[in-house]
Amino acid sequence: MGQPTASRRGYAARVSDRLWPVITVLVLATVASTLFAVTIGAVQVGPAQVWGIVADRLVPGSVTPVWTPAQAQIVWDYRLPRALLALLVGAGLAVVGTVLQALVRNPLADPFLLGVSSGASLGAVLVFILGSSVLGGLSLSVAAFLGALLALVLVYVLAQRSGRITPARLVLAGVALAYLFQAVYSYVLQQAQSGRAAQQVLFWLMGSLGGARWEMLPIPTVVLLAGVAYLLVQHRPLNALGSGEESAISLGINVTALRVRLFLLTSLLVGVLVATSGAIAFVGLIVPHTARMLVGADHRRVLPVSALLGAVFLQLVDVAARTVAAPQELALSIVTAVFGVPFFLWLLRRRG
Amino acid sequence: MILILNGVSLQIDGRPIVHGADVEIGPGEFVGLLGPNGCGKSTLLRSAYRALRPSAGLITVEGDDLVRLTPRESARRTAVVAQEAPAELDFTVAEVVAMGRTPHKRPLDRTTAADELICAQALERVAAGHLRERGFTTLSGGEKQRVLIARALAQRSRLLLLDEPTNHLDIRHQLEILRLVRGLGISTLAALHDLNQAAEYCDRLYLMDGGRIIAGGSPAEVLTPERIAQVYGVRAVQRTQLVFELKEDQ
Repeated sequence: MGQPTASRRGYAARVSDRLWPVITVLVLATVASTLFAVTIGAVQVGPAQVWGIVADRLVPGSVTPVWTPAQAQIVWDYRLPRALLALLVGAGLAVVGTVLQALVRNPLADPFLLGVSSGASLGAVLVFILGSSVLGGLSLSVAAFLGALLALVLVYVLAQRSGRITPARLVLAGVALAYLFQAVYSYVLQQAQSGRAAQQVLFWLMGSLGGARWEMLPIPTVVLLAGVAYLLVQHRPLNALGSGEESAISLGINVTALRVRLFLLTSLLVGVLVATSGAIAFVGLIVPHTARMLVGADHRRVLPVSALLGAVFLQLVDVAARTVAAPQELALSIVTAVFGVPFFLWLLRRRG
Repeated sequence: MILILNGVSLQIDGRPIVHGADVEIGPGEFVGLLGPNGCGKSTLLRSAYRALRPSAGLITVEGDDLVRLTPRESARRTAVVAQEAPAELDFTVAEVVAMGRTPHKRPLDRTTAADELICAQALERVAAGHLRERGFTTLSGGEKQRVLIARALAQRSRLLLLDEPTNHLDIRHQLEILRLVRGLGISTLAALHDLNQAAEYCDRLYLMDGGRIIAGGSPAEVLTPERIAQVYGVRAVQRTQLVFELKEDQ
């Protein structure tokens, strides 16, 4: 058997052996980064105090307090839900990116490039500014979901010709629609009665976990877990789809039905995520790609690794957003862009 | 008969591409589909794996109407090596071959040792076992074709459809692929370009022109100088010149 040289083996070599070590490291990193995120801030709280506060809340009276009530309140009411939301949103965006990249068979696809985030943002802005009563009582999440779905359907319709889509057309249609949606919600914001409300919305649009509360967590948690479970069950059809449309058909996949289900799922996820945290750029682009470098392209391995990696990444991004310009908070998309843009350019050149 | 196309007509965007094509593939036959560029070869092949639905005519695979089979069942009977390659997502060779098991797996099924064995054997069959952990995109053209054939073998189908499998390959790799496919003993329909190679490796040939099948039969029956002149607009001249064969030690 000829031994291929290191350079020709490529990074995908032996990736299948790496799954469990990678997952173990990522789980540890998730816990560590979350703990770090909760301890850091204007009010110092030590790791031991954090564990104590959490234990005390779960089983009241189980720990002798070594913290002030103010510390307990900050950790439990603000920092912990925020840190957990960071994990959910990071994981969710990474999973959406992974699915979209398989769906359009292009590693440059992400919720932004395909206009999905802008669609969701438009839905959210309409509820924010006009109020939910004007839109027939639509909640923020539902409006964001409908916006995301509208964007995906429009992009798909524009990019396809007799049922076949080419990646180039898809990205062009997505970028064009993203601009259109941005123009529409910018107009709505400009016309808004209160300049202050508009400014808040603008900040939120760039991504912020500042509004995190416990009651915001259940819906994204359920949607994310159900979504990932469904996608893991569908890992073979996803792989087949990632190998091309004709190829997937020849492997017995009902491509049209699968695409519709994936569109609905990704729209639902993006809608829910945008409703909680605004539109955070680049996570859905960088993370899946990094996950593939670590464990190969098989979705049975990429999906869990991508989700964990996204969770850790956004946790650290949020820590940076809170601390770099403290006491001012940066919008998350500003921080992700610092990592995302060089990565995107590297990806473009590498594929050139 | 493994595959029968009976009066199959095909349209793309309402534009007729193939008119009333009749094709039959018997058990173990290696059948070549010839014709100039744009004659409808690929389109006809696509109809046989359900990528395109006929506007008229009937396609049966092992006696059953293709339209009535589920996509999964159809994929268990027919494997395809298309021109489009799974390049963008950096799958490894092992992952590409494992895709061949897709039609045999229900959503909650695990990948079993039997699946792994079938994939390993398929890779060995095309002499590509050593490429297992390589990224598919890093392979040469000939290696890619062999891996895609291995994926088709892992599908354990009784019918193989190949769309110009020797495209972009040098002469040695062209001959290797053709000899490999011929040696598989699976019923095969392959769209091919090289008339001499088709005549040498195929049991039977169909010749297409302008969306119609204008001849079918043994290579000698189909490839007459008059017909080649009519279809391709070239003269067929018999000359003594080099012919290329694989060396026996390869």
